[in-house]
Amino acid sequence: MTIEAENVSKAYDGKQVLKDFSLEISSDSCYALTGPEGCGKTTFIRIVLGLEKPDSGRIRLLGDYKYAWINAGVVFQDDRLCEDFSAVDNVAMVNKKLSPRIARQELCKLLPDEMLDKPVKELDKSMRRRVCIIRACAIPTDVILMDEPFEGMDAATRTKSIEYIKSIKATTPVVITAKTLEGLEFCKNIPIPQL
Amino acid sequence: MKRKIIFVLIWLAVWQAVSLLLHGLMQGAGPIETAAALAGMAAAPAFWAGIGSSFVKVLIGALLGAALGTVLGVIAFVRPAAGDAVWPIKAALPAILPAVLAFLMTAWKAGGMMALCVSFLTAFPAMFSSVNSGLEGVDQGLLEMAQVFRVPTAARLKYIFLPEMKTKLAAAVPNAIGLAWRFAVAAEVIGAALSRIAAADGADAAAIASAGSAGECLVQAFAAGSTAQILACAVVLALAGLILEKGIGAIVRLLAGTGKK
Repeated sequence: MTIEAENVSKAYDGKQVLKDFSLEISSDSCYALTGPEGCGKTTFIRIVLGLEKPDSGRIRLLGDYKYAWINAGVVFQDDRLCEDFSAVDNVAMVNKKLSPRIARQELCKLLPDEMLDKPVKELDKSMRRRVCIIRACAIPTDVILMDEPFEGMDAATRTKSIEYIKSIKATTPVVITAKTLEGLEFCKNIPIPQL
Repeated sequence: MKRKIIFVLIWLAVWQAVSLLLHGLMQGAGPIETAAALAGMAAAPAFWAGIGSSFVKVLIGALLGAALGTVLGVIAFVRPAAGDAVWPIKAALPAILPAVLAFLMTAWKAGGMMALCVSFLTAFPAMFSSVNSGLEGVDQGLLEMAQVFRVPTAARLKYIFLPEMKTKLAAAVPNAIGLAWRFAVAAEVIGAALSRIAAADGADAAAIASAGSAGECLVQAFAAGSTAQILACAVVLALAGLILEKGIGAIVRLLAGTGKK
């Protein structure tokens, strides 16, 4: 088991966001956390990443409670790109072993060549999300966590991005949050109810 | 630019007209008289030696203060406890008047070091605050991203901290140096005046004066009783401050790779 969430609850300012949420993420599987905005999808990902502490419940990483963090490739909901730098720089910066040449090769799979050296602040929403997807997938990790990765994409780009994720994931488990399951039928659907 | 030159000429004309109207008060020190006084003072090598000496001391003192402020600002960000330790000094220094420093340096017979010390003590807290607040203003989202991806330290510096800091430093360094120049010259003026008082009382003025300084040039002009000489001196000091501030600003912008906005 890569990640085991056990009865995780979290509230912000008295508003319950997650309540007794449990999920077992095993290697070689894909999961789609679906639900409306504000149902706790992002909160769950932040808890798994160790960026938030649950009010109650436990997270077991890599089969053991001793691990405080997991080696994860992440697509954040709000991009979190270094705006003045190119797509190649943004991907290559996250790992010493990831050369700009390899970053460029990977980016070419989802982005037009002429966009790779422009500062990411000049890219549109869809392109920025694709840079984030490549950044999350281009390095070897224990898990890939993607928070609304297809926001701003048209149907064709979304399909192309999903195909890329499927092709690259190998045995790495993938967790994707989305409002709907459209195009994510290959994932196990984990609906999160709105509290 | 052409319009600015025209306005400069208009204001010079206004100055000349006011000096003629208030001849008794201003002792006829219009721009023409000031220029003539400047020409006279400029012929004396001691005048330029004084200005140059203060210029170099302020430059060295301010750069040392800026460097220490930068280093301690970074340390305070990385280790907040260290920042708390430095905080009383950083908070107290800007509150100290240049006059107090001038009195202390004169009392300690260290008038020659006045410009260097005052500029150091002025630039240090200014840079410390700028660097520390700049680092605290770095996008928390990017820091979380770097934490999650275990981004190497060198890459964090290059891609996250430096882009945020370079624009702030490009503004903070020339401001700190400009402030240091004004405070240092003010302290030198007070120091030179104190030396004259001490000399009148029979003390060894040479031992305590900020001799051969920009401040002393201004005090000499005052002692000569010439408003034109005081204004001529003020013009040179203002230009020297401008050169220091703009020159350092251009160098910092060049190093930081930020264009002039």
